[in-house]
Amino acid sequence: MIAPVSKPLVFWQRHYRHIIYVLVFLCVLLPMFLPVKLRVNVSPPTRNVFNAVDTLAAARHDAITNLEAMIAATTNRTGIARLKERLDRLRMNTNGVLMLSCDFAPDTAPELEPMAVAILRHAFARNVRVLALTPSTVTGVQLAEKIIGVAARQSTNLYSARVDGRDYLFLGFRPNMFQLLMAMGENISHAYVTDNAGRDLATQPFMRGIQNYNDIDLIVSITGYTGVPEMWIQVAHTRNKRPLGFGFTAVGVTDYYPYLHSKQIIGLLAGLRGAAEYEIASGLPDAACGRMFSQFCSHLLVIVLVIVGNIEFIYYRRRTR
Amino acid sequence: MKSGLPRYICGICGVLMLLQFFIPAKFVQETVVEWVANSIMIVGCFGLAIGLASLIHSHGTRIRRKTPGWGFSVVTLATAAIVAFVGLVPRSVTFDQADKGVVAHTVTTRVDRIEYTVFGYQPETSNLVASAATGNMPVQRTSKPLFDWAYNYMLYPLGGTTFALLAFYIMTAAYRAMRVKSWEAGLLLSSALVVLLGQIPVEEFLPWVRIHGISVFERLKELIMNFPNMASQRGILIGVALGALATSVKIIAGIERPYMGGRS
Repeated sequence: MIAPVSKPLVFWQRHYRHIIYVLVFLCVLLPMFLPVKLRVNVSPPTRNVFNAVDTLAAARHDAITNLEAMIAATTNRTGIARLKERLDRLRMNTNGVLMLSCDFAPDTAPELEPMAVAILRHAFARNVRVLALTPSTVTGVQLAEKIIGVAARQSTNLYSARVDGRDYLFLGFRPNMFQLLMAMGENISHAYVTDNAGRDLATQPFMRGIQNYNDIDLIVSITGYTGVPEMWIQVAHTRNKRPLGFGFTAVGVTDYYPYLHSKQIIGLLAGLRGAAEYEIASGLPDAACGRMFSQFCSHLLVIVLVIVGNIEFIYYRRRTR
Repeated sequence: MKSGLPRYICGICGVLMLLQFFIPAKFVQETVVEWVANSIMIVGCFGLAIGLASLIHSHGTRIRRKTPGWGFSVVTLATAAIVAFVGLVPRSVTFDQADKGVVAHTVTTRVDRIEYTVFGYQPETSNLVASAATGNMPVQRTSKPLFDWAYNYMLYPLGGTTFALLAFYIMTAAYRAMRVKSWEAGLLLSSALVVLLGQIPVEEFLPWVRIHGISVFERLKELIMNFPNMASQRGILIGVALGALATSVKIIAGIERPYMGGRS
């Protein structure tokens, strides 16, 4: 004969959904109002992206030096002219150029926006010029535009202002991502023609030193869409040999570890924690660090629920025996 | 002709797409790639028009026949029409002064370094920068007030809310589904718990889990990610890539024709 189930257990079984929903609500919401900022260790994949942004000026300097050496060693006049043309372009942005692809929409913004903000602030602090775009989603255009605008204004320091069209440029969205990325490999101004505000790219001071991926020192794509990183890898890394970094939502980041180990990407920011790690690395703890306590509580709740579920499972299995 | 022409077009387009990866000639890399890119964008725009027509047709039919849930179709069509209308309103271009509050304290005399810019070799505090920073240079701002309003107050919160609902489902799923029914399930569950604990800074509250400054869970998480996870992902990737390659060759050769409704 099976023993009767106790009243609290009956109550739990009848209302467990409501109880869990209330607990989730509290675990996410309450920590937002508590001034707890957790410090996280910076993992090697995040550190790699940070170091790449941090040393963009040095990378550009190396590229210029290498090109000068190549010109000195070349005897072919046509080749020299082409190399000199490229050298002139490289000299126009001595601190390097970062291409930031904000491939996310409002749905994943709470997780990915802090990544974009942290990278932009870091790049602006190093006087790196930023070419931002949203090639994968039309619903993320205004979000990305707002993020880069705010980051530029916040990064305006005592001695310099970040000027739109000179220090940064936002290209916006164009349909058919893969072909767009391919076309940018030949000429960015031909692929996009105008920036997001409708201004002709050919007239923008920013674009005078940039023709294609060869003039970009680092490409970082922040996305939550499966398939987007693969396109960037195929075009930017495999075809154009540019260093590539990613920021991805925590739920899908496991898919991209093989690319990290095969050195097709230099680094990887994993979810909110990746953003918090980047903030810690750049010495500017902000939104992501603030949200880490909320994530901490939610993860603990998942663990508690898994344990409770298994205790209940074992209890019922024994009763039925 | 009816079945032959699409097959030839598909084959030619497939070969053109392949050429750009294997032939480094300037003609292929510049002219062909640009032509293909432009063609695909144009075809995509036509596809958008067909999609819109299909949306209107299918929802219009539902409204006309008053099928269950036809009210949702009304909302869908009305929203599409409103957003399209709002998006077509031209941008307003204004010239504001730079934000004086942020940079009014700018000092123009100090020169940090000389940089080669598009304006020639210039100090970082060039005239352009200084005038923008002190608020003398008009800053062009473009905006679409209605579209911005719809985006900021409708799309943004709705998108976030819909995605946030997942948290509630995941939590109940964690309670109901993650149960140790076999040793394989136990293995899966224990690795999931380790990754969960490795994703949060537990060492802040439990200092004894720290080894050389890093939490033991974080180290274990890195191990799981770098070895079992990577090995399985690599296997899946290679398998999928081989399958995609075989299917692509069949489509280019015209053996498989999914673009014709699956008829061969």
